[in-house]
Amino acid sequence: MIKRTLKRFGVVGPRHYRHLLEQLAKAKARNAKLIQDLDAARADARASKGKVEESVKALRKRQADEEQHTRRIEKLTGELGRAKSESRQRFEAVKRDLALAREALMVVDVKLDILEGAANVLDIRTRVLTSQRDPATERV
Amino acid sequence: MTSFVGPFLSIVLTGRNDEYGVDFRTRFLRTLAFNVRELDACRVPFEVVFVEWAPPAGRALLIDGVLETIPRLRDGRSFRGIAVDRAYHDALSLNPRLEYLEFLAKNVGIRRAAGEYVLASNCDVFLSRAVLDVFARRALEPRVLYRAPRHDLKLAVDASSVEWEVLEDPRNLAYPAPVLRPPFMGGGTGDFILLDRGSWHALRGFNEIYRLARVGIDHNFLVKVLSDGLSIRDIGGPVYHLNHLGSYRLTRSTYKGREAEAPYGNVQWHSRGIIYSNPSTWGLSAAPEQRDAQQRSMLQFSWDAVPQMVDLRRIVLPVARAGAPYPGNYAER
Repeated sequence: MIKRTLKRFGVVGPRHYRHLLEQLAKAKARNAKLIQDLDAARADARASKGKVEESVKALRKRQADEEQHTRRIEKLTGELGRAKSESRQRFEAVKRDLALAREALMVVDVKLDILEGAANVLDIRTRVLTSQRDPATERV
Repeated sequence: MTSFVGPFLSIVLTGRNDEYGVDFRTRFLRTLAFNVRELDACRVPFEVVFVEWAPPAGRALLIDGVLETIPRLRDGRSFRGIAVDRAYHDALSLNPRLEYLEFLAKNVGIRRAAGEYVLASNCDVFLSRAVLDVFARRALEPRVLYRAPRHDLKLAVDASSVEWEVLEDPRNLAYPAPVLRPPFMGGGTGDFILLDRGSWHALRGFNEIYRLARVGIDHNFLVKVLSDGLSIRDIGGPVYHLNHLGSYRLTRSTYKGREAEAPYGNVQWHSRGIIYSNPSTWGLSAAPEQRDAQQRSMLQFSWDAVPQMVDLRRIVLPVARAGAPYPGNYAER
């Protein structure tokens, strides 16, 4: 009866009071842990945010690099195309020149053959004439 | 306008009585008799212009041998023999190894041929029935050079009595029958080059400037023909040639590696890469001609008739024409 009356007025017994004190201590410890966890989570979040920001920065840099490379590739492709076209034109020109040179060379070869043949024939005729000459009539 | 009075066909041949190529006289007379007989059978008006180039002294002329052996040719119209003084060979040759200036000799005959069409051929070449049929039908066009593939018959074939059965028997072929390939239709070219007389004169015959070879001069003419805008066509039938010892085909391997020493000249000269422009006196037209019998004359030697020893301006490049082949490729020698 007394217990019930004291309870009604908020008075607790010593055992209950100890129990409550334990409960309070536990709650305070949990609270402290939660605050610690929260601080750790905040620190993690800050770290993650930093990483994300770094990644975004790296990504932007890569995108910029890629765009630069793409532009460079396009430029080089254009240059290569022009170089190929120029090379082809130069090759065709060289081929034409070579054909002309070869044609001219054939004409030169044939003309040299004729000259050589004529020289050989004249040489033979000269030798025959010389061998037929009478040394007695020769003037020294 | 005057009508043409010459025969339809002139056949220009050249040779001499020195047994060139082994047993030449017999082969020549036998072949000529066969062709004359068949031309008559097809009623083809013809003349044979035979040029005896640089005949050796002390030997009977082949011209006389022809008239003695083939009486049909003694009619005063169908045969004309022209002997060319040996001094022309000595004055013209630019290659002491050359024994025979075959195409200069042919030019002598072509220049003097009277036929509407002139066939430059060789003394041991038999005409085929297909070729004779074209002649019989007069199915030829001016400004077209006609070629015929040469069917070589085996050495072992009995040459003493050649008849159609022998010529046309495929078992007698020494090699597979050749096919003429455009644009040049070359191969055994000197055995059959047929062209209208006007075109021969416009082109001024075979090359007389490069007098160092007889080999390749015939193909060189084909290059000139295309360069000058004429066309080359297969006449549609072969000619036959009996293989014999001493023929170019059988002896050319002897000179492999020392082509410049060959008696027919250097096979590697640029016959496909250059052309020429003969002087107006081509075919020794300025040579004094002495007629010493009705069908026999002699070209007497005169320096006035001999062209310049060297005339380099007359060697030129062929014209590359649309649709025509590239005139020539440089060949390393």
